Amino acid sequence: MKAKPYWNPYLAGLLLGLALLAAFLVAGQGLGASAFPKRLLAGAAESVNHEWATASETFGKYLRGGNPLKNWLVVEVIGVILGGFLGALSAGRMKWEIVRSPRITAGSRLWLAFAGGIIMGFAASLGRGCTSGQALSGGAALAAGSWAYMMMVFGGGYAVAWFFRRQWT
Amino acid sequence: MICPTGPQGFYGEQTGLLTALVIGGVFGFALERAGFGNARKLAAQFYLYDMTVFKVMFTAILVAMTGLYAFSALGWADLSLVWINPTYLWPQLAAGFLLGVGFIVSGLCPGTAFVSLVSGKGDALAAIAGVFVGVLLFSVVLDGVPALGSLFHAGTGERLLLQDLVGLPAPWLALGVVLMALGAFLGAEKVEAIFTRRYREARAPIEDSRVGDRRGKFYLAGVLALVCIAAGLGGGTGTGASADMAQLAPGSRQPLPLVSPMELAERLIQRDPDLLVLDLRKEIPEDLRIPGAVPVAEYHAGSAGSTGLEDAAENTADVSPRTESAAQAESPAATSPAVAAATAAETATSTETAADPVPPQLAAADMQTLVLLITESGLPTELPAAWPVEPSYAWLQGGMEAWKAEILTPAEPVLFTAEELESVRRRNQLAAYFSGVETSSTVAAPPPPIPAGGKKKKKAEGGC
Repeated sequence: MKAKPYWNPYLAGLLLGLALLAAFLVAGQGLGASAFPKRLLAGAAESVNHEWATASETFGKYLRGGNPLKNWLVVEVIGVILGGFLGALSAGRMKWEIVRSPRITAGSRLWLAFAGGIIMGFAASLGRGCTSGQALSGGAALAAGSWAYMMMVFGGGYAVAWFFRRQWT
Repeated sequence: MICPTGPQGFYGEQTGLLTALVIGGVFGFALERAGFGNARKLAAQFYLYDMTVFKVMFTAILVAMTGLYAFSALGWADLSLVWINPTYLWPQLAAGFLLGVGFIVSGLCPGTAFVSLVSGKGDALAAIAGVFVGVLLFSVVLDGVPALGSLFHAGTGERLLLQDLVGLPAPWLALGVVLMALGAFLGAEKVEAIFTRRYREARAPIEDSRVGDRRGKFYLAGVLALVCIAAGLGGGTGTGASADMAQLAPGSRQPLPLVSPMELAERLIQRDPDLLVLDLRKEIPEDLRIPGAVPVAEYHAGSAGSTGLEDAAENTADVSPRTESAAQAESPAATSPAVAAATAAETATSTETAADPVPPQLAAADMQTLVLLITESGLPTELPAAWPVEPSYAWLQGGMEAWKAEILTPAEPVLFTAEELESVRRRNQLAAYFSGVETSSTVAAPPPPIPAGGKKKKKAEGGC
């Protein structure tokens, strides 16, 4: 089956914006993504080494409020996973592949994805949020720091895009 | 104010988490339909031939921003209860740059990586694994390297909004963002056309998956713009968000923190000396009151009121439960040991200060004090400007209705897990204690608080 085309970006943006607005009006906070790995790791760290996890500055604060996974943002990301799955399935886009330019090998692509992931995990911790929590949610709420963050995301991407062009074009 | 519904305690935790699942589901679906499950389409943003990332993101920002600020201006949403990212400028600048680099290296961002993974993309799995490693790495480095800590904490952490920074009312700033974004949309369409042609001519293997007729996009953008401008102008008639936020704790722009009924109950039992409970209700029924709470309706409403001697005596019922006194017999809440009655000296001060807009207990409060505001059910409205700013103010989540439902009503187990049974038992102890209804013979003595370590140990065992 041929995959359905993507939606018009402005239409997808409208739906995304409505979801974000609903999050603000219902939960009193925006959307997020990196809270999920943070809290999952906090929970895992606690069960492996309770002392270390609670003493850790980043994980400790997630553990103080009880179960770190019983959290709005964690359940929201589970929703994202389900929604994304339904979206891909219903559009016929469910396909096992490694997305890359024909100019690089699958192996290099996987290593680059992993390395980029490490940088993003670090950045999402340092910046108290990622593209969803800072740029999108903070941007819509007009938080000054989030706009600075958003500008820097685009700035960082454009600054180094040339060096990674073979991966994509 | 109706919104935000969750933080005001209109429903329980389970319902709140259900809304998370639904809202997250819509978010994930929209990301997938936008094409964000495909790393090449995302990365194309940085090679300028497909600027879908920018277009989707800014459309979403416009919609959510106009909606949020219009709701606030119309008085339907209390922005002070909405968590807005605090500003830590330096770490945000550094992290933004790093995230941009990580974005182009991996082709995904944390949120889109999850969507990409469930569309079957192997590279997304590698990226997510990397994110986990990165978060762990940060945590380890933060605890070990003080320099990272000082970068992480650089900044004020205040709630700084663009409209405060620029000095424009929120609706005008929102209108400015809308106009700027529309200009950028037009620019993005042009840039895309130019770079697509260029890459085609160079026979670069780009995957151009932009959708359909370009004019169709403009129509949609035009409609959106009209909606946004209309909402923005509608918002212009309102008071704007900044005024909203100034209402709460005097001098503070941070949202009023919440204290759950359970937490209050435990703090009362532990006789927390730093807790001052102010009851804002106009009429306080005798069977529905917090032990030790100071009725402050006349201060709060601003009416001079008839602060006779009787009232004054009641006002000075010291909230600090440590000073238990013998005069309990006259106090309506005398059954509770947490209440102490007024001494003669205190009564005198109170009578003198009857015209003073600040309740004497509040005037005596210092920085350590947590001033807990009690309402019927809704959020407290404006606090008198004369009230001191030093103590931190908080609101009993859900007001007395929540107190009644959670503390004065005995609970019943549903799932019968060990953890639940323990919490139900504790709740029933609290209910017996605060409602004065005897369920066991030992109701007079305060129930022993759960040892702090006990609960945590249990979780650690069952965690894995």
